Amino acid sequence: MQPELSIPTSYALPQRSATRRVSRWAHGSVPLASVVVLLGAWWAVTAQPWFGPRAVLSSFTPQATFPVFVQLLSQGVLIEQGWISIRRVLLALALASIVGVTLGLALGSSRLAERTVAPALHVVRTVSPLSWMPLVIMLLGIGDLAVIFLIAIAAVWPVLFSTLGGLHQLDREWVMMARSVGAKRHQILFHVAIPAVLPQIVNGMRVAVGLAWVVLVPAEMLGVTSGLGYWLLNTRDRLAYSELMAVILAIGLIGLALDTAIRALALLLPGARR
Amino acid sequence: MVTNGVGLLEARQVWKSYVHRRRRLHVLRGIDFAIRTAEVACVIGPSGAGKSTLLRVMAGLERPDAGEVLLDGVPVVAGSPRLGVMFQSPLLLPWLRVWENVMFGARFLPSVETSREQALVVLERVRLHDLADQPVTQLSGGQAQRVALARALIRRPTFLLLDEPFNNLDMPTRRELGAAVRELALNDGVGVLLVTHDIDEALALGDRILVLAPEVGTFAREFAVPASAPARARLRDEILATLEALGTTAILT
Ligand SMILES: Nc1ncnc2c1ncn2[C@@H]1O[C@H](COP(=O)(O)OP(=O)(O)OP(=O)(O)O)[C@@H](O)[C@H]1O
Ligand SMILES: [Mg+2]
Repeated sequence: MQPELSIPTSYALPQRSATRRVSRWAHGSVPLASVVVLLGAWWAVTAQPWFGPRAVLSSFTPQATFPVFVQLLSQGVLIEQGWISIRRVLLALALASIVGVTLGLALGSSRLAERTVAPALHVVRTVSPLSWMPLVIMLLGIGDLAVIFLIAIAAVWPVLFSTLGGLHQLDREWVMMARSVGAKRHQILFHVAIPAVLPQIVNGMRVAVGLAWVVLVPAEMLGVTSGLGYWLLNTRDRLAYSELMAVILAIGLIGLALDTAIRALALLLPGARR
Repeated sequence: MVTNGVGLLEARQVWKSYVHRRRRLHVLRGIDFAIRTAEVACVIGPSGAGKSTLLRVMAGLERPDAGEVLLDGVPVVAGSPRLGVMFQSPLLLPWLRVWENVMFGARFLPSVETSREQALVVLERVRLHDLADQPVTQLSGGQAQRVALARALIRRPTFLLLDEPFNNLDMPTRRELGAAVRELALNDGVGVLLVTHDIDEALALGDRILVLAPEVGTFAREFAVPASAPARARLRDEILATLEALGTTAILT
């Protein structure tokens, strides 16, 4: 039984030990370079005859995509559909956070509960969230609710296990100190345990945002008629490949924005700067 | 800070052991001990003798295997409003500022007013009011310990249990805070249990000195601290001899 969540390093919060100079450099010129690399690779794959007939690939090229992207943006389609998707992800994240933190705290405060429940949860966690699709549709029907629920299933685990892992690392002596000033169990929970594990909770939520955004696209292929995932299917069926690429571009950009936003949010939290 | 003059915190035949790697380690074996109000009782002993264990048991934070700890005749409970505890490490909460950490000491007491002003008054006593609004993460070891002391003091306890409170402090601050603790006993009638492994500190601040013998798990000797300097110097030698007889010369001076 290994309750700690191993967090992919790419998801880890920015290391504060890194010198300011290096981080400024990384935020300045490196992203620019990586944009150039990305565009170059995109162009090399689609605009050159190495990977397939030019006629087919031509609508996938950056030069074909960007005008369509701008057009979809100005028509409001991307913003409209993007907002629908973002809203679903945020609702799913809220659900996953409430359930994950509550369950994590509950399991972490009782050794018996953890011993009996946590191993089962580890089994459930390994099942791909998309495997629940048929079940979720059967229970909730096709629609927003099913999509949100599926995303939440994917997002709940990192929140739950990082909350639990945080409680494991909780300094027992803090608990003793709190008892010495007369704190009761629930007061220790609210005044010591929760603030102490807040950085881990936030870290778990960061991982959850990434997962949620990844699961969003397949979840929106579930019969709903809106959102970026649906739009992707729609463009494919209409053979509008430049639009398809524009939607993919939008998905990537919004994902990046969400990650940046939660990074910034994490730094605002009182516990995050420790 | 005024407390009523009578009071007794009393350990009766207290036994305490820990199981560590499947072996039972007997730390306290039948301790009889009492602190009265308006006195400073010093417990000294080498590292691992069980001083901190004794303090935690006296504070009601750990249950003895046998025996009992009574506060004015009633079994002591953890977090009693009449007790203030300072642990060997400061145990400050890093998400709270200095004054909020001090306030934490009274947070769960209905009787004590919890305001920033109140915290400032207590911080003044430990000469730290300038840092009231600082985050505790930037404090030095000695400053952190003073915050921890203030957190115990804000409870206005009848009994103050201090576990090596003056470690990490420079000499002047050590003297100043030592004097403040003595004053608490003399002027405010607080009963102080001062755990230390520094003989000179015990001689300077204590009314009584009890030597906790490692492995034996009881007090080897108890001494009353005399007022005159030469008599204290003789007592110092006697305590050192006691420790040597216990085979623990490692104690610092
Ligand atoms: N919670 C615990 N579990 C297991 N063993 C413990 C525990 N607390 C203390 N001990 C053991 O009990 C013995 C006494 O420890 P204690 O901390 O009371 O000594 P001490 O006199 O305060 O030493 P020091 O001067 O180093 O602080 C030590 O051998 C220690 O390892
Ligand atoms: Mg100790």
